[in-house]
Amino acid sequence: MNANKPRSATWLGALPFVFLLVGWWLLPRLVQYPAYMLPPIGDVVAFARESVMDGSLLRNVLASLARLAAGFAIGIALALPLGLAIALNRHVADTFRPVLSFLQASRGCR
Amino acid sequence: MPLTIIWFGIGNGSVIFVIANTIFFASLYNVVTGVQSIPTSLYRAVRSHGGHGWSLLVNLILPGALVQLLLGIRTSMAYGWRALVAAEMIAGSSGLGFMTMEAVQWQRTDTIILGMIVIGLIWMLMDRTVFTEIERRTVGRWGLLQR
Repeated sequence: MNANKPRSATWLGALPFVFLLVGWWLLPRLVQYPAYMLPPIGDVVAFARESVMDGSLLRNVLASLARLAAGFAIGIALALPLGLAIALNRHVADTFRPVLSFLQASRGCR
Repeated sequence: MPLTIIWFGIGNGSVIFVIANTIFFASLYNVVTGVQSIPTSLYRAVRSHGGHGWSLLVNLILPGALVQLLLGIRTSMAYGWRALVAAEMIAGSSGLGFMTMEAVQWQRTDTIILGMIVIGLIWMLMDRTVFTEIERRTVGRWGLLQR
């Protein structure tokens, strides 16, 4: 949480991304593989431009963000009061702790 | 997920249910530990000054647990974003996860790669602009963080 982060940190953070991009650019020039496995950067950039232009990318991004916002609102609205109650009242905690850990474990298959 | 699909069908309902679920569990334990980390002596101090009920909540519990609350919100959003993409792949009918999963049928690797980049970038942006900023303006400025 360093407010005045040195500028070099930003550059250092960008370094791995540069390596990834250079690697992506170099790979088809060094190894033979079908383009459908990993299309060259140019193709992806062209497709990105296309999907920005026709609005399909923005539509998908907004759909995802709207769902995240809705899920977040519901999740927090339930977690905050229940969390407070569990932390402040031992009886509430004793009641909910077991069932919550059960539900959390089986969450994936619901 | 299977039961979710049976209850809510393919689409918005299922995906939102899964995200709400993820965010609920990820933030719940942070709320609990955040509130429990407030020293008992502070409760006694506030009570001895006549604070109870609502004023106890506003003056002690919420600010006392704020670091952990914000941390919980941040991590739960990170989990939520990941869960969202995964849920859209299974039960979505639109969105970034759906976009990348649908591309598999047509072997549109460019769509998949673009989706990965956009998903990553959006999270980086959210984390940098929203959460880091909120933390800096609240707990950071009030000297609650020890780093």
